[in-house]
Amino acid sequence: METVVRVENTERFVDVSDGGTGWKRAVAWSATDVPTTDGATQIGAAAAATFGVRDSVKVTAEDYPVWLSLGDGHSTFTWSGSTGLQRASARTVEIGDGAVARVSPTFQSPDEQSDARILLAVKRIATGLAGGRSAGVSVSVPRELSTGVPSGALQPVSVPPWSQSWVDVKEGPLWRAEDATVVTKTEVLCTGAGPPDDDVSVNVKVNGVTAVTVTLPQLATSFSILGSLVLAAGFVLQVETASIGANDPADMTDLNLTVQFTAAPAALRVDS
Amino acid sequence: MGLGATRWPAVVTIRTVTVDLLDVNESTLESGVKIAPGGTYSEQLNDAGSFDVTIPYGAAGHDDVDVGILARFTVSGGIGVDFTGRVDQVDKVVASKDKARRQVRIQGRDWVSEWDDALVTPPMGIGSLPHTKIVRWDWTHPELDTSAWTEPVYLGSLFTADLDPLGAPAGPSPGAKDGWDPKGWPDTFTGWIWGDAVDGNDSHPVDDVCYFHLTLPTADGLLVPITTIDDTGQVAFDGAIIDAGQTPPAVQWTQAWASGMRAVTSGDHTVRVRAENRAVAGNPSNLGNPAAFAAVIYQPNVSELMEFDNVIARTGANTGASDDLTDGGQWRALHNPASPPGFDAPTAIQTQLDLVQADGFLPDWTVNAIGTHTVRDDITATVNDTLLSWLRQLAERGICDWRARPGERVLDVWPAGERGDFYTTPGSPPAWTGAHLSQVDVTRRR
Repeated sequence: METVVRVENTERFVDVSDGGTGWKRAVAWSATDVPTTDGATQIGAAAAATFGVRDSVKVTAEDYPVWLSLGDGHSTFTWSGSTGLQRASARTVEIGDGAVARVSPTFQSPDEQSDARILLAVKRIATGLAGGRSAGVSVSVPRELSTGVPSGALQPVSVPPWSQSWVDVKEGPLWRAEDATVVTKTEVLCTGAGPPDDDVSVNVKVNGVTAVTVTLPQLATSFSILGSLVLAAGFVLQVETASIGANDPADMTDLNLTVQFTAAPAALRVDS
Repeated sequence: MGLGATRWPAVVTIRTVTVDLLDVNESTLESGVKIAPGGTYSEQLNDAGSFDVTIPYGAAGHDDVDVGILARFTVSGGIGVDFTGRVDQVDKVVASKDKARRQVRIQGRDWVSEWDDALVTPPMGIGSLPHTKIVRWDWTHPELDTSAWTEPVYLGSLFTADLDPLGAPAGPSPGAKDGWDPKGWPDTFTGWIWGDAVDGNDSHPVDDVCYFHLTLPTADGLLVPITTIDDTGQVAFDGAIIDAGQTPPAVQWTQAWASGMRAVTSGDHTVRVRAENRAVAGNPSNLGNPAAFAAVIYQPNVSELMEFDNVIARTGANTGASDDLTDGGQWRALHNPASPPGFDAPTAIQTQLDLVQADGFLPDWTVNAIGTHTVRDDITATVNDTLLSWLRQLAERGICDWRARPGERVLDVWPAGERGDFYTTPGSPPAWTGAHLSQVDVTRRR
């Protein structure tokens, strides 16, 4: 008989034969955490070695040299009629007249005893132990979507930048957050004729109240501050130039001030 | 000498069996019960054997039998207690014209079948949320000993700016990962950590592996962990994988990943992470390829928004427990272990026994390890399987041998194949040949 082990790894099926002849049978084997064909072939070869014929020997004894303990090695007749070392795998004690005990052991062939160890070795081949890899851990399991809570990749939220040319103390337009949003970073950038000679401050207001003030230092072209501004859904954001300090307003006409926001979704509960 | 050459052995060793009936607490109900000829008991390797005996009418113990009691078989000649079974079935002839027919037949299995009365339990017990449906005795298991794990190395803040959220100058960059904020990351105090510092090329080795642990006290209710890993990895909570990560060559660290849970039970929980570095295509010298892990965990303490006061844990610099906003010092790391963290079989079995005994099951049973057991990470169990079926699975998978001692409620556990002396290839094994035999039957299976 020929046994063919069909191993499924991460990307293909690999058939491995035990080299037998005659009637052919196939056995499926899953190794979906093995990425290589070589690995799958090694697994198939080891698994094929487990699917040979196996013998079980039952002995009925008039008497016995020793009381049988399971797991011990004993010698008795095998399939061929010769004797060989076998492992005691079961025993039955029959109680006869006068409570006399008669034991009938069952022995397993060495091939059966090696099955369990070969299966173990197969699994080790599949995943290896080098570098702290954990055997059997698959990375291909998809995330479960759990309704009502954030799950999976958090999509970045866009808060439109605000810009002002002809920089002067003035309020900017309003922006309403459709979804709960957290602004993690606010950055002021300045382009144009040159960095201002004195500090320029912008206020970021939430629902009309100043939540954070970012001051572009004199002679600087950018300045950033980490969050957080937390905007519940429906909150209104507004940027205003709060102060141009001692800068000459005439010098500010060629400057362009921009406020950029880095943002993330902020809701701990979601609709779906 | 072949079989049948000598019919009767020159010396016959006579052993007799004594049967005692005991209650479930092993108190004697009747000792030396007379058994009708033909009774049997059998023992199976890595399974529950069985017994089937009949008590004749008028024999002591005839009226004591009931399901659930124990039958203990003792063999003379210095063998001692050889088998204890639990009565599963009683057949009584309660009336008969021939009194001799008023026998009681008792059948049952090895008392290890008591392990069929307890079920595999999630690691945090019944009623604790979340719960896993597959128990894994690997890096995810809450009972894994992490006492020797070390404080992680801080690799830098996810965000960089001129001022931090407290209005103070943002700290100098510690290196490698500073300022690489993943898309959608909500918390500006989170920092990158790993088990080791980067090398001179701002890198960790390709295939570097690090495990992380956090004991996390929570309130009842919603819990939202946000995590990311450079390059790939998995996150577990109370033994359940809540984020299985990405399949390489995809990487995770450019993105914030949420693993929200609608309900957790108040108390201490176990967060575990396994993270791995990967090679970068077109970077054969492995330059600028650090490995890192970052996390921030929220509960709705003051609102249902991801704001600072709702953060219950984060990774970051270990600034000290007094600085709640910035301290990330409660995590522990295991960097590049020689083998994956795990358990040996007796310890795994003990964790389940402890859980069920805490709920009142399997009183008096203990686990005893025999031989040298290796730590391994491939022991698993399905919640709600019976513990006996799980023990059978452990044997079938080649993880361990086991048996219930016949005279006391002790489960002996050996490394697979090492119960008995067969695995030592004894040079002079007892020979079951010739004069000792009546018959030898060989069954061959394909």
